[in-house]
Amino acid sequence: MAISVGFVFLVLQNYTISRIPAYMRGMLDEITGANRLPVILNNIKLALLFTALTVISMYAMRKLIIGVSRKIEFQLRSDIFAKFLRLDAMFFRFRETGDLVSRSTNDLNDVRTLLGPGMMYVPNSLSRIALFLPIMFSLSPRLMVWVIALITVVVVMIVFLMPLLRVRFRQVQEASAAIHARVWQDISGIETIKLHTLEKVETDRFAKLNQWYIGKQMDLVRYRGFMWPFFVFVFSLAELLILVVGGHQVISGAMTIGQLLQFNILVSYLTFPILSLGWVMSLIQQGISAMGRISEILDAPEENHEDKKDIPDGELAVKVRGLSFCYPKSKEMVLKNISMDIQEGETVGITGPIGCGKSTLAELLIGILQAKPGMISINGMDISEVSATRLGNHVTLVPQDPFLFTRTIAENIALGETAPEPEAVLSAAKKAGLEKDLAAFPKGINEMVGERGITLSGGQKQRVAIARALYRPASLLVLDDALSSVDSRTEAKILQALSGEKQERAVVIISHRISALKNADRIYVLDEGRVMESGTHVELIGKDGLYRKLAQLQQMEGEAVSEQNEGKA
Amino acid sequence: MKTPDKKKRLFKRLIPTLRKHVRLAVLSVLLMILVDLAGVLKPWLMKTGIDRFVRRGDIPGLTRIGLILAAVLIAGFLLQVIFTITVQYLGQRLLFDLRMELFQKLMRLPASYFDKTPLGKTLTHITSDVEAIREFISDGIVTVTGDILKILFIAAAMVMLSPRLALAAFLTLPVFVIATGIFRKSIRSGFRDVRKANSDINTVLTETIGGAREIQLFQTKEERAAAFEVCNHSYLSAYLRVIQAYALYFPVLEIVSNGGMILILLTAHFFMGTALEPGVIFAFFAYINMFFFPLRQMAEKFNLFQAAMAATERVFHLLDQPEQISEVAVPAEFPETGKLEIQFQNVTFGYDPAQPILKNVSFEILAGEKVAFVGATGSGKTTVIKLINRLYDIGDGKILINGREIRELPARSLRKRIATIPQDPFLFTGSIADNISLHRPGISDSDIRLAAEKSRASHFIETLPNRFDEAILESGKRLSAGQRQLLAFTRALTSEPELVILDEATANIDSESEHLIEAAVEEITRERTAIIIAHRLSTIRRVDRIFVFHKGKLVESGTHEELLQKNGLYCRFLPEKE
Repeated sequence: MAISVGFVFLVLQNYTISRIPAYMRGMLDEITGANRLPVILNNIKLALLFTALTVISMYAMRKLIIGVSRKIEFQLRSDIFAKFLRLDAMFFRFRETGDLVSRSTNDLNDVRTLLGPGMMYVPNSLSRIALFLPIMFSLSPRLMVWVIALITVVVVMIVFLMPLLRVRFRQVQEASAAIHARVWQDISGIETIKLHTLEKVETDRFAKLNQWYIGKQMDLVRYRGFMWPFFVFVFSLAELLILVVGGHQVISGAMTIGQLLQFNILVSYLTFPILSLGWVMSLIQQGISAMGRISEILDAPEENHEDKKDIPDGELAVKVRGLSFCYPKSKEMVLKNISMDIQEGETVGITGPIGCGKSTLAELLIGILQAKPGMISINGMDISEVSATRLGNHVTLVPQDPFLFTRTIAENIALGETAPEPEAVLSAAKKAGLEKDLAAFPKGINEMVGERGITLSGGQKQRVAIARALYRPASLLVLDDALSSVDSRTEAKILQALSGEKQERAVVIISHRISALKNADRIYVLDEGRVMESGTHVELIGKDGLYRKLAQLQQMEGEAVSEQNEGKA
Repeated sequence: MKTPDKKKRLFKRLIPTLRKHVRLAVLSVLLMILVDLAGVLKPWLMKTGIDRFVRRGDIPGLTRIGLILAAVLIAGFLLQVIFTITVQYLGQRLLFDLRMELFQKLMRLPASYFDKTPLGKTLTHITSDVEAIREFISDGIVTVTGDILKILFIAAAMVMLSPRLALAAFLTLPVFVIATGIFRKSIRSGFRDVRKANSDINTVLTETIGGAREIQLFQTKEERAAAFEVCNHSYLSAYLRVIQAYALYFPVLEIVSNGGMILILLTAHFFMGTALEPGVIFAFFAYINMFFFPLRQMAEKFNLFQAAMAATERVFHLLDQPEQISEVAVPAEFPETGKLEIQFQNVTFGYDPAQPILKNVSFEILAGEKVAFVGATGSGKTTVIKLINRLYDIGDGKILINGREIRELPARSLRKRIATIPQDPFLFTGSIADNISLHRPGISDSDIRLAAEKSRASHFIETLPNRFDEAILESGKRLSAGQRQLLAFTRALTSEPELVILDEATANIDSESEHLIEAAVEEITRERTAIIIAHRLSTIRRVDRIFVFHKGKLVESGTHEELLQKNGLYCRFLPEKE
């Protein structure tokens, strides 16, 4: 609605603009002729009237059309965000955060520019040309034909030459990305560079890359530096035509000098709308491809929430039967035919070398990754039939690299609650071994985390995540290498606190550290997606298998030392 | 807010960079003046054509002036092309210099800088901040200088053509200046709110995507949605205010422009009447259009200026970072070749001086000796390694290398004699061969192959589809821990180190790689001083002495048998069944 009113004002604006030069002509012809004040004043009056109309319609046009584009942008952004919240974790796994953020900001902005300026400038240029042509024709058909010829040449050049510019522009972007990547690598590997004294070598390589970048930039500059002035030059030939062709017509009496002035003003009003067409064209192209990238998000398949069941209450019993899994678009089986049972009150350990599939198993258990029907059930209910939200009430995961939000520690622990109960939060924090750390923070549990607050160490982050999991009444708690950055003494303490609690829940500890697994009721050892052996610590140490080898390797890691400390403490 | 003093200071610091390209800068300004003059000449020629030839019906004259105008148009076009290319080239040269200066600074910065600065921040300085400065200098300073000159030329031309009409035209100037001032102020505050809302949107988005797993697990969707709604709304309303400002400003420009034309014609009516040369009106109309354009552009450049100042500040902040590892004025020579000898005398050190990691550590490693470090994570083993490489300078105590104080030795020539093989070596994006040679000149393909033979890395390299040319992606994620470490051995073997430091991999390594690594360790430590952070009993048994670290102190040292007899901390480390 608003937008069509906007277009009405757009046309009105161009109409009023087309009228004003006529009064300038009137004045000039009067001055060089009879020079009567009333005639002059009359012309001024009309010129002012049309200026006022121009001003009003210009204001309304911008406000309506650009304003609507911002509102559409607002809506689209809300839609994208809502979509992010509906998509499951699998969607995010194979995509870079930076890329998704860029799609929902930069690409959205390109779409907005297409809808706003793009939608305003094209009809603006077209309606201006359409309204000006009859007036120009009435002033001098010959000059008008010349001007149309010039406009056509410029427009055709814009249409055909702009794509060539884009190729060069893309090359510059690629070069820029290469610089980005190189600097990123060199900062990440700075210690390697220092230890191998590669400073000089890397500086020389960077200089070369930089030189190459400049080469690409100058390619673009030479092209663009020629193209734009050339468009302007071709259009400015209109001035020459007005002087020479128009001059002839004035001399022959076909035109008055005032009419030549009017024609001249009209042409100057056309300059910007014509030359901006190239810019508008690239806006449209960018906007369309950006919309494509946004659609990839908006059209991504979602989890089906209808007809989902809940997990029945009762004593926890998790059954894994013949679980196999491979990631989409991959042929490699990450897990092969795994079976295990987890009962309420139990602590189950899972270990194995890097890449054995233990983290995948964790994510399947808590439903972040979806297992095929019949493979995992909780309390007799197949979890593929349970919605992620409902499953979340029963199971929870503490990942190795937990994500903390930029808010207070208390809010991070009681995630999703607006007014958490301080005692409950504190008690969870205590169990997670955060007490001492909290005492060191000026604002304790109300300290902000991240950008605007304190920076937490890896171990502190992991413990906040444990507190977060303990705060909830989930009956299955999966710790996926969740204590890797915590020192062995604190680790032991937290595990002790967990086993004190485990009567109401089951705990799955995934770790490559024997110290974390030792006291588990049952330990599964995975290798290449298969369960190689299982049993208690004592049983497994007794066998000459993978577990024993892992244990021996870690002996030097100072398990004995931490035990000794505990003895002293 | 920034004080003018600060601005001046920042600007002064840019001058040396600019001075290097003073010729290009002067050439740019000269070209800009010529472009401006051609622009100012066009209306003048129009006026001459109309008043001298059209009004007198002089057709040959009209053709002549037409040819001159054509020549000026072509000259203006060519000058514009040369100017654009020159000024952009100037900007690119500046960018190159600034980037290289920053990169070299990065290479000199001590390890402690990278410990406390997020990678992304440093990356921004060297990529987008320097771009902002370039844009400011080439598009900003040069163009603004040109614009000021252009305004002066136009004003001069108008006064020369007709002082009275010029005065009439200038009457609209106050309206323009006031309107632009108000506009600038209101969009500045509007854009400030937009930026704020935008950064909030980015934060919520980044956290929602980064924490997608947590959001799903802990069901915080509603709360996220509410937070997003708030910043999305404030973004919209801030932008609607900016739109309002633009929607008001553009019509005002229309009033100023039309008002100017009317005032000129009115003045012509009262003061010139029929004596008016109409060509003057053509010229004046062209001039007032040209006059306001650069003024408007300058108002827009103001934002550029602000952004560049902030970027300059950040860039110079990085350039001003202290290089703690500073070389002494006359570094000691490092004449002796052969095996290295290391002495720690009461060394105390902490990354944060308030929290020492190493406390009063003293030891001596003789030339050619092989020593194992044993201790729990965080006991200070790795810190000792970093200090020997002089990645950090110590607080108290002394470190002597071959009897010389480490501070007196140039860090680079020290590190050249040491090969450090970390547990999880960093691999660069590139081929296997690149990761072995590290682009060092003088390392040939055959050197690479020979080193790989010696280190046993060739075993797995030969199984790769492209062998030495196999590309390594994303920090070598597809290689196993053992393969990565074998590559690091190969790296070390391409130089002739006099001290080898090895952090044994703890990650489970398959028995084949384990066997290979054992052989490689044997090979690389032969005839060299060696320090091994050991995790395997087999390794410990092969060394001359064992140092046991605990909580930043060296608590025990001696041979395996000596330590066993002591029955101290060391015995606690050993597997029960050995």
